[in-house]
Amino acid sequence: MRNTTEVRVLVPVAILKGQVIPDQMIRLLSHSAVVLLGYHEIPEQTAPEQAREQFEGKAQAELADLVEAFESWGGTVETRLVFTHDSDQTIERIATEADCDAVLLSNPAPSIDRIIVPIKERINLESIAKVAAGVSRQHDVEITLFHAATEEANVSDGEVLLGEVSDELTTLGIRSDQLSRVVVVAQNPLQALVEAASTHDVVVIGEEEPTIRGRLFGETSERVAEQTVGPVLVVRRPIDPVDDDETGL
Amino acid sequence: MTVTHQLVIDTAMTEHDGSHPSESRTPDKESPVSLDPSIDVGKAGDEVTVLESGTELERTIDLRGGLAIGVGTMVGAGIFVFPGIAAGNAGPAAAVSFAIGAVVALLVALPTSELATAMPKSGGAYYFVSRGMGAPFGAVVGIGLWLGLVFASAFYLVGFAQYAVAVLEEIGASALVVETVPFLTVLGVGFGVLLTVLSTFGTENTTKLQNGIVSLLLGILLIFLVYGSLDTLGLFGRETVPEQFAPYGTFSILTTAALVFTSYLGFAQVATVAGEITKPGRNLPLAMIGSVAIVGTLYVVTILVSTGTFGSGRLATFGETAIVEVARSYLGLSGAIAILLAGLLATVSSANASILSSSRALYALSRDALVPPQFGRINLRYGTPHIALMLVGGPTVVLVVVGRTEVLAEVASFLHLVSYGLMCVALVVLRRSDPEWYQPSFRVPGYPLVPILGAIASFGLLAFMQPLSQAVGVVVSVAALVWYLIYARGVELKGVQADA
Repeated sequence: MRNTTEVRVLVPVAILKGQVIPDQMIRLLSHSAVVLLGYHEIPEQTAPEQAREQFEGKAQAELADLVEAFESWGGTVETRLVFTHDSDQTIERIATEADCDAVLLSNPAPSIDRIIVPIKERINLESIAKVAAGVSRQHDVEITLFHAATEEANVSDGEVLLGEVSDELTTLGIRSDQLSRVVVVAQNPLQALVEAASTHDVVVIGEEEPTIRGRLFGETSERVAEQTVGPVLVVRRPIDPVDDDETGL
Repeated sequence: MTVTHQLVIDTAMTEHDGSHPSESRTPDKESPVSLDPSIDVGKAGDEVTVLESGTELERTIDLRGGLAIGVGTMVGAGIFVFPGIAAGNAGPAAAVSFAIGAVVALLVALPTSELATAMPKSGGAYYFVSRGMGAPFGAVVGIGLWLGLVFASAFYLVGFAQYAVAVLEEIGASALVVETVPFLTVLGVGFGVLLTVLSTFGTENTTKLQNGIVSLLLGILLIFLVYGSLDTLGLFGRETVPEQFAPYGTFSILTTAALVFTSYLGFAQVATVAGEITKPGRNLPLAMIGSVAIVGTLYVVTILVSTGTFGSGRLATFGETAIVEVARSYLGLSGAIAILLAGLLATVSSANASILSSSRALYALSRDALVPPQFGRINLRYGTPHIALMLVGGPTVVLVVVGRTEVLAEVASFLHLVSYGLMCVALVVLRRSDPEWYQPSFRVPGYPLVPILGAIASFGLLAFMQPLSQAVGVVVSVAALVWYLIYARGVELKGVQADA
């Protein structure tokens, strides 16, 4: 069985398209189990095997370079190389097959000192805490827990929510001086989050919907990834086939 | 919860081993390319093919997408081009001609399904025949499919141009259409070039568009046909034009069946994307057989409704856009406009699908070195097989200029029927030699009767075509064989059981 505190992170890379994983991000993930997914998306006019024949060697070489970069920070990496018409479907499938806790939406990251963890509601908190703690534990980073309340009356609820996550993080080995909590009141929570994220280097955010094929990540995390400059780690919701609806997990 | 995930990982890992039984076959080191299906078929899962190297090929086309490819390729011809022509040749019995076409198509679709589930690779018929019967037959089928689809694309484009002209006439812009014939050609050529350019540079995902177009088409047709059928049956007090069912005799039914068989050329296109279909064991047969069943039913009903409305003699005078007049007589101007739009969409989607399939056929040939390897190259920037697409688009527009609708259609059918017949034979050959790698997840019912009948029917239909079409078809097939003897004689395909 796998180590329960180890975090498995899927790192999808549009290989052959010159996408880079920032060095600092690689450093941050050096204590996590990384599944490096090199994918090459091709238009529907082209058979994947046709692209494979022509580009496999080049893609493998690029993937090997990336593996080297991860290993130079002491990380462990397993790799997958996929030719696909639909990268969302591929990322989703590999994330499930490889049992990943989080998926990295990569953006440039010059340095990584501050991580923001937006908490919207009481969903998936355990996994979010696990991932946030997993990537932060061995590094000297600050973690900001963030909640945007829509009106003044809900602020205390938000504080309680962040308190729970904070406790969970402390249990998982994060020092309390690394942690801070911010609750803001905002008409537009997404905008507030994007603004808060701009003073941080990495966003760790929970996936919104239970994943359904084709609706990867849900709206918020994708828009956060689009609008913030730094990398976003999307924490996947455990797909529980049995009692998802009753216990609310 | 974790346990479930662990199980998923475990399956993924076994797939990675690539330890399927066929691996033990040793590759032949002397051949220029590695072609043994047992080596490069890879491990076909529901959503991914995992190759020996560990590289994965995602499967992204579901059943709906497969049906859309089949129906989308076929529906353009049978409903929007042929009813007038077919009724002129065979009278109301043209419905029987379409039914015969559907039966022939089903007899071939069943064996094709089996072959495709055993070899879920790009290239479709070419791949199956070359692996079943050897490179010379493969060359005839591969080159035949490439050019057959070129003829088909040209045929669809001519049909499209006719609809475009009809639209212009409808909106009162007929002043533009002074010299109808060159105008038709310009439209057909223009769209042929446009489609080729779009396929080469467009990286938009066309599947969703294709799905949408097919759904819209089926919707329009359903309304029209249900209304038309009820009316033809006399529910709304309309008198059906009384007429002899087969005024031109039985022979004309068969020649018409040979002519309209072009309407059924789409199901095998599903096989050309066999490598990309999810759950291939289930979805490939369903998509192929399902699309033939859907369009076959639509065709037969369309002919019955159309001939019931006008009588076949008058219908024939409307030519390629006869169905528009039928719609007008039922649903007035709005009906005519809806069908005109549907006709534009259907013919253009058929042409597009055929151009893409044709380039796949060229790729499959180039992979086996039966044509220069450059033909299969794709450019990194757009990710499209630009040379293959040019080699399809170029001849297509030439044919649009010189071709006649009926000859284009029949040559397309001729070349496809040769491939279909050979596929049926290849199935029998493979079943008898039973190579280790041949493990289809769908097995044709009624073996050996169905593939034998499929082969006889496919070759049989060839006899009922116009002499000109037969001559062109024979010339292309012979030329393919000559090409093989000159260019690719030394090529040895691995895993071909005839050599073993």
